[in-house]
Amino acid sequence: MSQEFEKLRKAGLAMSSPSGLAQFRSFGMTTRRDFLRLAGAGALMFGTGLGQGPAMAAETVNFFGWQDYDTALDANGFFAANDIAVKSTYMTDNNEIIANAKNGGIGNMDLVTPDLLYGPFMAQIGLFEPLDLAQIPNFSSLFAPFQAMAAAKMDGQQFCLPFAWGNVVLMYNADVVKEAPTSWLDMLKPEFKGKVGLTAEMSHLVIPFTMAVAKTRAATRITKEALAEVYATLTKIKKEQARSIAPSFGDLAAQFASGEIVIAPAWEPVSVWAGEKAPTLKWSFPVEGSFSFIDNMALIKDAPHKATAYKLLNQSLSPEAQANAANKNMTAVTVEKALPLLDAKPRSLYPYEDVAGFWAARGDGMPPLWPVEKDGDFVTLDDVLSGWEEFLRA
Amino acid sequence: MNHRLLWAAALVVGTFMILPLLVLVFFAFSSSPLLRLPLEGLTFNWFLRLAETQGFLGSLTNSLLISASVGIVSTMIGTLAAFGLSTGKSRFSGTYVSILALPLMVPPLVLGIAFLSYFSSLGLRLGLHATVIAQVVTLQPIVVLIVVSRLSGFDWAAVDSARDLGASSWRTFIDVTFPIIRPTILGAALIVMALSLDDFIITFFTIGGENTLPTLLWGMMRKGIDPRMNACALIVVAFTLLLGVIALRLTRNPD
Amino acid sequence: MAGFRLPRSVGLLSPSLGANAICFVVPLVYFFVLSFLQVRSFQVVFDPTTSNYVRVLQQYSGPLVSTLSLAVTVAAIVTVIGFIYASACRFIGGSKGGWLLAIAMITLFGGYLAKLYAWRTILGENGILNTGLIELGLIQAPITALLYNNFAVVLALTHYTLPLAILPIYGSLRAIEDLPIAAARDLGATDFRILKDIIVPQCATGLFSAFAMTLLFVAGDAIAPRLLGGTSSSMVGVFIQDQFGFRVNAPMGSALAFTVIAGSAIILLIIGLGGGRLVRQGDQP
Repeated sequence: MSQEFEKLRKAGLAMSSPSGLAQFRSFGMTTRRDFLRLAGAGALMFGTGLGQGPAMAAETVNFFGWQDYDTALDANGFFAANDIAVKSTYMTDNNEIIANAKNGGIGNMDLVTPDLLYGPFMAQIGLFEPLDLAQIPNFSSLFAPFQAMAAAKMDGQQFCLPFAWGNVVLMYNADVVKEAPTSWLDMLKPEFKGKVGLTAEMSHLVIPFTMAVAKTRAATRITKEALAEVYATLTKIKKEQARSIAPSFGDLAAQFASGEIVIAPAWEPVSVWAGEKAPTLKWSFPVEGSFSFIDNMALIKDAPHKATAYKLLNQSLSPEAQANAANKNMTAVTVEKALPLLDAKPRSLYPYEDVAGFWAARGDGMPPLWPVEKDGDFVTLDDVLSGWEEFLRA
Repeated sequence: MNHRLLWAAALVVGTFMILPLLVLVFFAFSSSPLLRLPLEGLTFNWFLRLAETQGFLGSLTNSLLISASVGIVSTMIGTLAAFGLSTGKSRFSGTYVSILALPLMVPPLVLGIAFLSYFSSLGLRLGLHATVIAQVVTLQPIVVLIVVSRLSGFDWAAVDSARDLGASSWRTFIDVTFPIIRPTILGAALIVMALSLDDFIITFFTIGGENTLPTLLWGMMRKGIDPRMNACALIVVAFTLLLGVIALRLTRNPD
Repeated sequence: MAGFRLPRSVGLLSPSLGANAICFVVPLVYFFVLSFLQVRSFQVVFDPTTSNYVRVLQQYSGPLVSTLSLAVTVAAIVTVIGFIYASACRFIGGSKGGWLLAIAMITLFGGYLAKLYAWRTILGENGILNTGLIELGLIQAPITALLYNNFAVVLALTHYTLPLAILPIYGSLRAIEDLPIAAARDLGATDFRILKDIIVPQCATGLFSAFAMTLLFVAGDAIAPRLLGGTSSSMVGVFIQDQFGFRVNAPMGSALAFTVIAGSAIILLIIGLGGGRLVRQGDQP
């Protein structure tokens, strides 16, 4: 316990047990001094907050990202072996990386886990540090498409390290839906009225439905008219078909599990997250095309613990950490050497037999983000976001 | 008053308040991972799974530390302020209350971002202490509102007569005023602690590389919901009950 | 006496006001100023304008109105139910009243998220309520209208804020002496007159505190509508988050926030003034 505590103990304000609240001698405030004692208790706890931190020796890294992406890095006791303490706060949305970093987080944050759709935007507005690949030797073990992925780079510099991925698929409850859906627009079928699930993840609805409604694979380069049509379809689904808009994919899994919904755009892992007792969940890749998420490790600009952060960045592409992440989270790996270490379930979810072919079929990576600045007739990111707000308000 | 009618109403409302909590507790012991009927069997498994969840113990400790600090500090300064407002008999009381209550009016997200940008512009390191400061500022108005309510119809005659008999203002507070309003102050402390334990957004922006129970649970929600959440709730309820009993015992007047 | 009291009350107020002034007012003023600025190419530029507020009223009046009306609805329900429950705690008295109060205090805990999910377990299509009603033979098919709508949101938020509201009302009821009530009854006053002329005016502060706390909590909440509100409820909180996030428009986010603050303040002012009139009426013999 801290020095402050010692002082308080010597002054007779607290008993020597380190466990806190109950140990202060008396709350039966009969004198002004007792009142001060209580104040001391508050101040002491406050002090423990100030003095808090990992044990002296360890090198700290502040992690702001998805839950269990941090713990996955601790494969084979990596943290202890390298004397690293990862201090994590878990995020719930990519939005929060921007809100946090832009308003004072820079200088406090080290590692974040952005999606590759938004990664380039975050790099462009100056949130990220370019990565020195010489310090990340494991980079060369990424599957070739992930090494080459354009969205992870800007001006020839690498900003994002692909860490985990999965696909936006059309998932359905096979106990109820006997015939596999083939199109995103199947969600409009009358038999699914009140049984459709949606999530609050904008790109996961807008991009697939652009492919379906505007019939283009270049889903982020469309005109205003096309976007309006996409949102009209989505609004129709929301108003007439959907049960709810889930705040997370875990919540969507819970809705599948409890039978509230039978069809939804989801990720492959949702079929596992719904649990063993859930209805049989199957999925299809609709004919119009689909979309993926690729979660990355990225380094925040002016990160206070850069050297240690690099150790973790490299570790994030080690076979052990990769396999650990996939086995914990049911996401796909980005490193081939991790495949032999995978459990059967996470391995069965993804097209590992031909990763290069799979990505070649979708244009070798992420669609670029909608243009951030005005670009001809194309809708901008801001247009898409305004449309999304209107969709939510509708 | 018609006591029988009042009883009936209280029972209905009490049931409404307690029933969801019983459901919550019940499912902490359900062997099925789904939060739905039918209940298949009973198990302690979720508590074990929760204890194994990486980061759970740290988050629990953080939550309890923050909540206890915020509870103590905001109750003290909030109660002082409430006395200031009530004894001052100033016509500015209303204005003071509104100024004090301002942090409650600001949407939590903006509060969180405001604290984050302010603390970092001051060069204050983020962490538990930053969260405690932010929560004290945000939650102490609740103590003020509650204690002011209690003091609004307070009979100051007893206090004045104690004073007239020569008691110091401090002794008067301890011997006369505090025993009368003790339940209110403890209740206010409990409310603040409960809100602190539930706070997600302000914590999220100010804690800088730590988790509390809400940020951990929200993080876990990406991968689904299971009765670990209920087990966690139960642990917190048990802890706060214990704390409540201790606080009641300790604040009981010695005579 | 008055000359002695004023400085003392200032002294008592100073920790609270000080914490507010040092930690809160400065960033608040900063964001208030920010709400009049603009963003170009993701950078805030100093070009004062009121256009953010114009846009707020044009584009977000719908969510603003629905957020505030949800807040007023929940606050009104909670204040009334809280008053009934607090009255029971106060007037039944003795250890029974103490137990009632203890129940309310226990229900403060359990965690917001866990409580919201408990409501889903109760109200869901295969939830406890539906299963129970089907077992009893009261309904044939599950009622889906219980969950994922405003009803569920109001129910869950009422449940969450009720214990918060009971305490201030109970506190102010405690201050009412039994004597004037007994006297009024001896003078032939009905229960209703006692309630209207003696009890309610005297606990006006508590009722107002309860109403204000509930209103402000709900107005700032964006979680219950997302978990229980289905597709139809869009709270301002969600849009504020987007402005600070992907839209990188902190000025717009601030303008939205200050509009919410102004809206809540106006509602509370109206309620406060109305309540004040009520009290004054009650003072008349």
